Amino acid sequence: MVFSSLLFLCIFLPAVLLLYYASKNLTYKNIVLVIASLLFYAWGEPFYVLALLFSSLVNYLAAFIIEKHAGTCKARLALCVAVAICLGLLGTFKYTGFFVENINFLLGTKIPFHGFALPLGISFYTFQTLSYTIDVYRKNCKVQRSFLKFLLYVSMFPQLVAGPIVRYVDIENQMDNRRVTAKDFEEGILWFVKGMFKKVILANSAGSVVSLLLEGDLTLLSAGGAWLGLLLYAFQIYYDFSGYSDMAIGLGRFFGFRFLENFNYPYISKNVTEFWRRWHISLGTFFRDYVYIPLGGNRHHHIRNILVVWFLTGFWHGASWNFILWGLYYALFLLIEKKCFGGKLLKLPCWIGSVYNGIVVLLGWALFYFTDFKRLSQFFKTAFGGSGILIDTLTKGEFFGNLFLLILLFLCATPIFKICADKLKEKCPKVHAILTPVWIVGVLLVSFTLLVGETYNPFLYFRF
Amino acid sequence: MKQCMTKLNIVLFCLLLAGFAYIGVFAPKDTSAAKEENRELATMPALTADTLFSGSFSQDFENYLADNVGYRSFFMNTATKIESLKGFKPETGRMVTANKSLGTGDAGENHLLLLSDRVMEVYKKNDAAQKAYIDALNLYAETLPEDIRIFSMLIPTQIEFYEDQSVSDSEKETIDTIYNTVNPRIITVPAYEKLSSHKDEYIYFRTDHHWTQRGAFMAIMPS
Repeated sequence: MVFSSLLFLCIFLPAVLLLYYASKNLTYKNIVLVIASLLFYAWGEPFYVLALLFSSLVNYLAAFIIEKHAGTCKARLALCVAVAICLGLLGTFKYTGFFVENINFLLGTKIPFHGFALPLGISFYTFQTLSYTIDVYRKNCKVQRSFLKFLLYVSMFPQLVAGPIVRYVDIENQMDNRRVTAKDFEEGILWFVKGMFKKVILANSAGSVVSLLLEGDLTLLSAGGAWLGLLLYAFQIYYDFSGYSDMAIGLGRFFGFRFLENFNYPYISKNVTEFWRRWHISLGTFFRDYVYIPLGGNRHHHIRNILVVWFLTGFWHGASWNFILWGLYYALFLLIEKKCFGGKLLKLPCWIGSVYNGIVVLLGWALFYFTDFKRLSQFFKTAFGGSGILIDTLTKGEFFGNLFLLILLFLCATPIFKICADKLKEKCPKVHAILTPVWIVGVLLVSFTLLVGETYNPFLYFRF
Repeated sequence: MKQCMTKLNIVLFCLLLAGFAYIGVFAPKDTSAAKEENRELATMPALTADTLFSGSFSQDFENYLADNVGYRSFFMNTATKIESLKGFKPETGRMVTANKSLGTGDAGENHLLLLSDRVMEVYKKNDAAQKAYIDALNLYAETLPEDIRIFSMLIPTQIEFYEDQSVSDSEKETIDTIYNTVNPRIITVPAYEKLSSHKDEYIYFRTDHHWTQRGAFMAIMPS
């Protein structure tokens, strides 16, 4: 199930909120949340919910052993076993096809493989359970004695399928002590509405143009069309992903959980290092704390560590070479910035940094988008004039046909509306107080309408 | 005041959710939209162990939910209006992609060019279709008795005469190639030249892919 669906808005969310707030005490509330989360998960994947339960159970038990034998090699062994099982599950489901394909290609063998359907959210919950077990081993947090509460941490539906990757230490206290004040609930609404706006209104609109431009025959596309498509894809992936994270944060608030922010206006960054401090923050900090620093950080084998982390970051995004290439592409720029001109870049006017970052990130999304290298190279050929057409009717039509949307996409990627809203709150709090409910109602109504509208499209892009 | 507004926002949000639940689940279904779309609404899927574990139940249930939303035609029309706010149509027209062919309804990518007062199908050269057509004609020519006359009349669509931005491939080229390759027994009808000389008249419908009766008449008139 996804948040931006009629099923979620019309049935799931109202029902869960109703049951949650009708429950007397925290235990009942936790039970409601766990059952709801498992249903949420099992809705599209009735079998794979078992993988989730298994992974939770392994880490739940491993933590006990680690605590009991703290400091001995038994603890270390339990940690290794838990990590191996978690990564084994992830590896089996997500990467088997990739490895078989590459072995067949390299050795000329013909090992048959039909592929598993990827269990929903496995990349996210594997990291969550791992972070818990490692934190128990490092004595950063206490063992969770209740399996119900541990399962709640792993399966909580707001962050289950698309992050943010919540670390157990961050919500440890909220498991047993959480209250939702009216203020908290209102903040939750504002996060949820902001996420809905980004996902349904911005990302979905950009996405429909992206597939029109980039899914067809790339040899016939104009150069302008290629760049417009890529630019819109950059917006689509940002608003899609950050919108989903914002909705997760908002939903978490409804139930008394505070998740950390996952995106902080990444596209205004002035260099690639800053971009990765603002983009998918929970993934970046996970790799920093559990891979980069244990490997030696910037003290030992700095270059190797960066390459390993970025290889893994890329590979985590998908079982395909283009994602690995995408990760290493960032490793290259991060290394160049650290070792060569990072300091100089900061002294230049802001806009030069932003333009540099924008170009690097934009080209990076091409590596990310095209999983097929033939199409990727064709795309670059077209983008740099290979088709011999600069702008055609298709591109011109899509550009003007989405001009107002494009302007909105640009503006919303900067904090300009947030700054205006804060100013307004300070100078005329009454106007701000009146506009807030207008914003909430407006976004929800428009999103609902668009969700109904997209359910049946005889001609996908057929509008006059 | 502040406390008050916070409560108002929460109440509004809960009311909206209740409203969505009502519209999505309890409101009577709206059959007029399905009539416009010329199809049957999805029905409630059967819940069996098979459908549940294959995942088809969840998929079909979501389709059922979407089809049976109350006031559906109102929401569909409003959604179209909201979509039109994304930008404007330039004078050179706008290309749209349809996932069904305008004429036959076959699935497959199909481009249309929207101008201020016309919709035209974009022609893309298709070697396979061209060869299939030639082969079919030649088969007739080889198998049918000598005394049967066989005609071929290829009719250009309106984009050939009203559009000069090279969005479309040349239909003239395709027609000439076919006419020159088929068995000489086939009698080819030069509809293209006839239509071309009358292109300022009302020979094509503006928003339909057919020609008008006038167009058809011009094409078959002996010169």
